[in-house]
This record gives sequence, structure tokens and C-alpha cells, in this order.
Amino acid sequence: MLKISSCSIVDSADEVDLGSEITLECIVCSTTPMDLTGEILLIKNQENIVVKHISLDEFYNDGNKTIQFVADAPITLGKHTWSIIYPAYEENDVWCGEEISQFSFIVKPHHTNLSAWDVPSVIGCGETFNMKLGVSCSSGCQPDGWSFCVHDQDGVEQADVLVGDDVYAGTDSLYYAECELNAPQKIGFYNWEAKVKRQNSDAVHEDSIVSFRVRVLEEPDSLLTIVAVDSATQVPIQGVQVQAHPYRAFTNENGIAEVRVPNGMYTLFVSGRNYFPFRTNNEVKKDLTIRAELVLDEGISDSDVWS
Amino acid sequence: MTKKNDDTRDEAKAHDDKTLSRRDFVKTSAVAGLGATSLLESDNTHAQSSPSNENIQWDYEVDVVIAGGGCAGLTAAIRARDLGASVMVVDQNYDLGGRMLHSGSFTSLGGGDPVQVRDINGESDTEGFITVPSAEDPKELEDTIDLLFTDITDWSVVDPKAQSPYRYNDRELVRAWAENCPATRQFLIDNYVRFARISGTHGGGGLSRARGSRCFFMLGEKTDIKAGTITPEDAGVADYERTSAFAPVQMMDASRLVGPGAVMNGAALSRPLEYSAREKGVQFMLHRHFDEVIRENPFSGRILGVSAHYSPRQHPDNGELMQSYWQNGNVDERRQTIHIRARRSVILASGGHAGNPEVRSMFYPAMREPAFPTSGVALQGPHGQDASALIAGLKVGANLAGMQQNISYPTTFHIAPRLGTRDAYTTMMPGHPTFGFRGSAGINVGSVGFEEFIAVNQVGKRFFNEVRLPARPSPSRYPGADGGSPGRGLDHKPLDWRNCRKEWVREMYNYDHGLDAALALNEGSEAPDYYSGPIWAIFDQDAVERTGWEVRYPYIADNGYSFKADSIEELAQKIAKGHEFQRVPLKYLTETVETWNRYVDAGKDPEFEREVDAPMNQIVKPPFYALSIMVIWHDSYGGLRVNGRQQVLDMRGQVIPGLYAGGEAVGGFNKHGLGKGHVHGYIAGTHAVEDVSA
Repeated sequence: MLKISSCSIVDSADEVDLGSEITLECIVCSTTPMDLTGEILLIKNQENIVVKHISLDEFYNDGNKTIQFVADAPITLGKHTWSIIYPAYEENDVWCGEEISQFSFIVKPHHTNLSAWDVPSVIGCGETFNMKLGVSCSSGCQPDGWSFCVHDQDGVEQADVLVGDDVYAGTDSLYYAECELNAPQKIGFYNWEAKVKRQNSDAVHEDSIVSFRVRVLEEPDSLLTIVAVDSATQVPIQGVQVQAHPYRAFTNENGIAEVRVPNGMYTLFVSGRNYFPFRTNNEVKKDLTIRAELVLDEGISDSDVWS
Repeated sequence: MTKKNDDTRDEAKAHDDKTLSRRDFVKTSAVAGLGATSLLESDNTHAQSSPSNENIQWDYEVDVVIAGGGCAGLTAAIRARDLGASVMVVDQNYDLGGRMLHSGSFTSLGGGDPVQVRDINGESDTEGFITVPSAEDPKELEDTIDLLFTDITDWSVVDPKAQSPYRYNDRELVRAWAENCPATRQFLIDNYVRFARISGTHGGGGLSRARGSRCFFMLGEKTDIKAGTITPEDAGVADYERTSAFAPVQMMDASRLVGPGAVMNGAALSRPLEYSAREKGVQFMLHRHFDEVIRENPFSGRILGVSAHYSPRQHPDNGELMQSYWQNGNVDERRQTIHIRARRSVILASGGHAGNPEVRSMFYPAMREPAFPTSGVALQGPHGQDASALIAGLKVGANLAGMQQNISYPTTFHIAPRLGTRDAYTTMMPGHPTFGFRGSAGINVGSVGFEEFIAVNQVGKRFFNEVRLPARPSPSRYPGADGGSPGRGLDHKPLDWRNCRKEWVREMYNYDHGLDAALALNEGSEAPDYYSGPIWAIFDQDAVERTGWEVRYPYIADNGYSFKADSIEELAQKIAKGHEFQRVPLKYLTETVETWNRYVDAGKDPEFEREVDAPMNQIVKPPFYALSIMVIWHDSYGGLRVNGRQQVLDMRGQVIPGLYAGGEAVGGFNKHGLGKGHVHGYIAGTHAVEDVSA
């Protein structure tokens, strides 16, 4: 006797994106091992329409399996049950009817992921600032006609920007747009949100939201100048990061970074580019220059470990 | 979710015995000086064995059989051969050298050894390669065997956890070691090894004098062991992204300790010894895992020989049987299991147990986690450091020594700063035949690089202050302004109680428990194993731009140890799907990153106080990255108990006749690295020849 022992969706927890390509693999076993290589299986959807003919490709141990093959997922949401059919066959002069097995899966809307980045760490009251928003679809859909809608802390729409046609550098399918926004007029730390607005509000995609924070601070009073040098060579270091929370900057080719800050107490870090962090606590009352002598991390050698 | 394979994995494209043509003959390469009776085919060889082993069919017979071709094994082999014995070395790998080949070659001996004397006098080496002055003050180099012995039995020297590396050393064993250091240094020099200026001392080698030296070649037009030269290509210095079959790890600049044009590392130690051994007629049976020592009776009588099984290593790219760098002296034997009779003795030098998670769990149960291999796993293969000597010794009644000395050493286990590779200890690049097993070289972010990411466990939660993760236990030192060690003054006072007073121990203390937190139970730890699972560095494109990390091949590859995604959620999915030891989903990763970003906004990390140590940066700019962070168990300090002749002792303190051991296979001497193994090999090779079959 034959038994269709399994049909599984490869690499999935039995949930598939609506209309997406799904990868399947079928295994057929028999009571006594039989090489069924080349025999054809039918895959039917729950409307009893054949969606795939696929041959058994490999006989192994006591089973036969297909290669991993692709079929189109249904275009209606919810639970679907498909049939896998081994056609009628003759065994020892006995005619055997077709063998049928079923498997089920859930068709769900495409998941979308939103990202928000390049928000300045500090913004002046009422200032215009730029940031980026990106969206990716779990099935890699292109965001035709989609836009990013940005709402401020009060739910007031601040921007509606079309998602671009280009994939963001380094990503597989993240479509993005640059937004120009206006910061609140009052000092504060605000939670803003962005979501995707789709034409026709299709049911194919789930809605999702990304939140980001907008920090509005008073006008700076003083100029903090950091000069970063290598402690051993005294050579200026370019590209190290300066942080006087929440202010951030990077040193230029002369090892210098300038940050305008309100007067007050700051913990200053200078680090990066393979240098150990330089840390100092300072009260800024007026323009201030700090020389940061950084120690290079030369790695752990035997000598370091053992002295 | 289906639980993934928990076993120590087999090498990719594991060998199928049936696919190889089986050979029923023995093929030997031409070897100078090989005696006609030193190798016998199986049909002609039947040892005179005791009643319990009378049925053994000996396939080979030699005077001395050595399990393992690393620092102890190769040294023992040459020494025994010099003394007239026929010698066969059995090694599970396809090439010789063991850990020595990928080491830094730092060889700490002393006791007034010839290199110490040379440097005291400010002399060059005999070939005149060394053109720089001595690196240590002559007073730091004035040494005696008695001082060395005192140093390595000094009860007063402790580490930051108040444990002593020296207190528990076996006195007979280390006395013999100290006495043989000068002779071993000369022996190595006589076998084409060239030592640079002494600089410092290797761990466990005693603190009061400088005793460590690295091995070098001079860059030249051809690689010539006798001439002491190596091509830039073989040295791995011609192209920063390539290493060679000759030297799996890029050689380091040795200009400070030798002079311009010199390079150093373990290749300058291992290859000369291998060359000399082959030249002198030592036989090598590679691809052969040593399994058992055969004794007349299970717990009594002489050792008769060994059994060993075929352990072929096949090329990761083309599937062909891998070939050693040199072949002269190789015995091409492909039968599944063979028996080799040792007329005089067997020397166990097959390494320690750092690659055997079950054995190392004896010392740290959480390190039974198979996700973390030992160092150099690509080079050594799946059987490297698998406790074979320990297991075989126990089966014939051997005792153990120094098992507690595994704990708390700076290199025993630690978190590596090289991310995105399973083999996170070495710098091997494409060009070496085993690079394919590694797949990626990893990105060495250094200790400072840990401020650029968050580290999460197998469920996606942070577990420690990332900046502190790579911190290691400090080494043992004498008290003093700079910490007492060679090159930092001679005001040390051995055997002084003040060396271990609590104020000094507190001063040495280093907040180094990130490794313990990494191995801690978490929500993904399931009975009965409670594995802690892999750990991941999570960062974004901003971090790549800040640091300049090269997130490309050969540093990373699509091998399950690095991932890139458009979103954190997708990153978690990719890790769960693509990493061989990721047994559970990283269900908290998205939440963890969101929480972290809020901490950065606030300038405070209430969970681990990162803001105290380093700046914090958000993880928001796509794409997002995950690189594996590896815990490495590097070496072993516990093992078989041996006496001063390297003879293995049983549970009653009696010598097991005909059985010797050295290097990481033995315990009782908490000394790191090569100096221990070479001297053990020298002693074992000397006495193994004297041992005569009953």
C-alpha cells in the first residue's frame, strides 16, 4: 500500500503570504519500499483545481520525495486545505485507487515593516529637519502609490510623502523616502509616528506603524570644541565620534569636532575607529576646548594576556 | 520548532567510507634511513601478546608509536629517532603541527637556556639574522634551573580570583621540566628552529625572569627551511586577505625582535620541526584518529601498541582527500581500523579536551554547549582536541592530575573579539586548504568594537554590559606598580605571603564575567541540556559607517554566522532559520532593540549601565546586521598524571609500563602553550627509547 506521508511547506510555520510563491515538498511512502521515481503527483487547491503536477524525484530509505517546488498561494485570506493525489495504479495485478492526502495552511496578509532613521538627535524649537522612512513587504511587493504619513504627538498629520521607487542602499527590498518636517515650537521630547497609506486600502498588506522621538531643546549657549589625537603619536584622529548626550558629532581631518550646546553638565565621550573611549565630565559655562588623547586598541596579544 | 542537531557536528561533506577504494596494501613514501623491519605488512606481523590480547593482528610494528603530531609529538618523534628508534606518528588531521602550526610560536623555557644566554651577551644568532639588540635587560635574563623551579612552584602568586597557577603544579613533573628546558631549547635550534629575542614570559612559565621567545623566518625569494627563508606569499604577508598552505595564519612582523624582513609565528616552529622529522625518517600516518592504547591486560602489564581508525579529511571545496604540505614519510593507509605495535613504548601527545564539550563540562557545565568549538577548529578538524589521550589513558587505568587547574586562566575560555565566524580564534584567510571549513574569517572588532552593538542571547535578550564582554581574567602577577612580570623590574619576591594579600588580589580583579552571563540559562534553555545557545552582535548600517567594518567576504559569508536584513524582525527570522545551533526563535529581539533605542534616547542603560563605560548609539538605520559572538575554550591544563620521565601513572602511583604522555594530554603543570609541550616531548622521546618490551 502506498501512503502519502507528508506534504509540507518548506521553511514556514504553515502560514503563507497571500498570493505569494510558496515552496513545497512531498513524500510518498509504501508498506514495502518501492522506487517510485518519475511517478507524477497532483496538487489540487480547495476548489479542486490542479495547481501543480510534480514528479517524485528521489527514492531514499523507504520513501520517495519530490524536489522542492514552487506553487502560487491562494489570493483569499484564511485557512486553505489542499490535496495531494497519487493517481490510481496497479500492484500485483490488483488495481488500486488513487491515494489522497490533504494539508492545510493559513493565508495571511503581507507583513510590512517600517523603519525611521536619520532623525537628528537634537532639534531647535520650530526648526525644519529631515529624516528618512522606509518600508519593506514580506513578499517583496513594490509600494506603487504608497505614501508615508507622519503624525505628531497630538495625532496631527505633519507630512504625507510618496514612497520612492528605489530600494535603499544595502537592503533587499526596503523602499524609502526622505521627509522634511517641522519640529514643535516648545522644548520637549515627543513621540511621533509614521505609517504607510496605500491607495484603495488593499487587504493584501497589514498596516504597521513605526514610532520615533523628536527631541526639541533650547538654543545652545556655548561652543564645545574637541581635539582628538592619538595618545602615542599625537596625530589627529579623523572620524571618531564625540558624544555629549544628546549631542553628537564626528571629528574632521584635523581631529576636531565642534558641538554647540546649552550650558550645563555633560559627560563627554570620544571614541571609535579602534580607540578606547575617552571620557570626561565637564560643566560647560562658556566656550570650551577639550583635548582628548585616545589610546589605540592594539588587540589582545600573548603579551597582554600573560604580561 | 524542530530541535536542531545538538551533537558536535561532523565536518562538511563528511567522508563516506564506501566511496573510497579500499586498499589492502601499505604504501610508503621514500624515506631516508627507514629500517627494513620498521614497517611490516599486516600478514607478517603478529606480536607476542599476553593472553588477553593474543588475538590482535598487528598491522604495523615500530619501536615508538606517537599519538599526535603537534608540539609534543613532533619533538618526541625527532628525539626518539635521533636516539635510533623507528618512530611512527599517528595524527587525525591531514597535516602535521596541531595547534603549534596556528600558534604565535611563543615558546617560554628558561633556566639559563641558550637563547637567554645569547641575549644576555647581546649576541646575534649563528646565521646573523638578528640585528636588533636584546629586548630585555640582561638582569631579566639571568636564570637558573633552581630559580625556574622556584618560580613554577611559587605558592604565593595568585590570579585575580585568588587561585594559584603554581601552587598545584606537580613538583616532580615541573622539576624535570625545568631541568630539561635548556636542552630542549638547544634541541629545537638544532632542528632548524630560529628564535627571536626573548621578550616576556608565557603564562605559567614563572614571573621573575624573561623566558619567552618567538620563532621566525626571514622573508626571501623562496621558502627554504634550511636557509631560514620564506616567501611573502607563504608567510601570508603578500596579500592581507590570503594565507598559504604552508602557514595557515598570517605571519607577524618580527622586526622589533629580529630585524627588518623577519616574520614570526607557529609556522616558523612547526614547519622546521616537521621538515627535520621527515628528513630523519619519522613515519607519519595522517587522517588516522588514535583510539585506544592496548595493554597486556586491561589494568596491568605493558603497553603493547595502539588502535586507530581512518579519519579522512576531505577538501571542503572539491571533496578530494586533503594532502599534507609535505608527503615524504607519509604512510598512506586507508583501512578502517588498524593496530600498531610499539616494541618500546607509546607516547600520547594528541592534545587536550577543549574540543570535547562533554569532557569540558566536567569543569564548567555550561560549556557543554556545542555551539562553541575550540580554537582553530577549521585547521584541526572535528576530532581536534577531543580528549582522545584522556579517554584512552583512563581505559588502561591511568590517573588524572591538575583537573582543577583548567579554571580561571585567561585563555582557557573567553569571548573572542572576532565576530561572524565559527572559528573565531585565528586569522586564517582564503588560501589555506581548510579555510572552506571556516567559511569566513570574521571581523576582528577588537575590545573597543563592543561599544558599537548590543549583544543578545538565543531568545534575543541582552544579558550583560557589552563593553565588558571581551574582558578576560587578569594573569597572575606579583604586586607592584606595574604588576610584577618580566620586563617590569626585578623587585619580585618569590614565596612572599604579601604576593597574595587581599589588597593585591582586589587590585588585580577584573570585571570579567560577561562570559558567564553569556552562558547563563535563558528562556530558550530547555531540559535536559539547558543549553544557553548562540549569542549575537546586533547593529545597524550606522555602526558600519562609524567603524569602517568590512562586512564582506572573506570576513563574512553566507555560512550561518552572519546575517543582514531590512528589518530587525526579518533579521531574527534569518538567524532562527540559518544558524545551526539556534534552537529557538529570537522572540524578544525586536522588543530588545526598541528598548535599547529608548535607552539611547534617555542616555541611560538601566539594565547594564553601559553609559558609564562608553557612548551608546541607536540601532535604527537599515540594513541591520547580526554577527555571531563566540565563546572559545582554547586549551587544557588538566589531563593524565605523569612522572618526571613523562611516564603515565596509574591510580596507585605506579608506572604504566611503556606509556608516556606530554603536552595538553597531561595535567599537573598549569603552564600555557608550547614550552610545556616541547619539553614534555623531549623528555618522553628520550625515555621512550629506553623502554624495552617485556
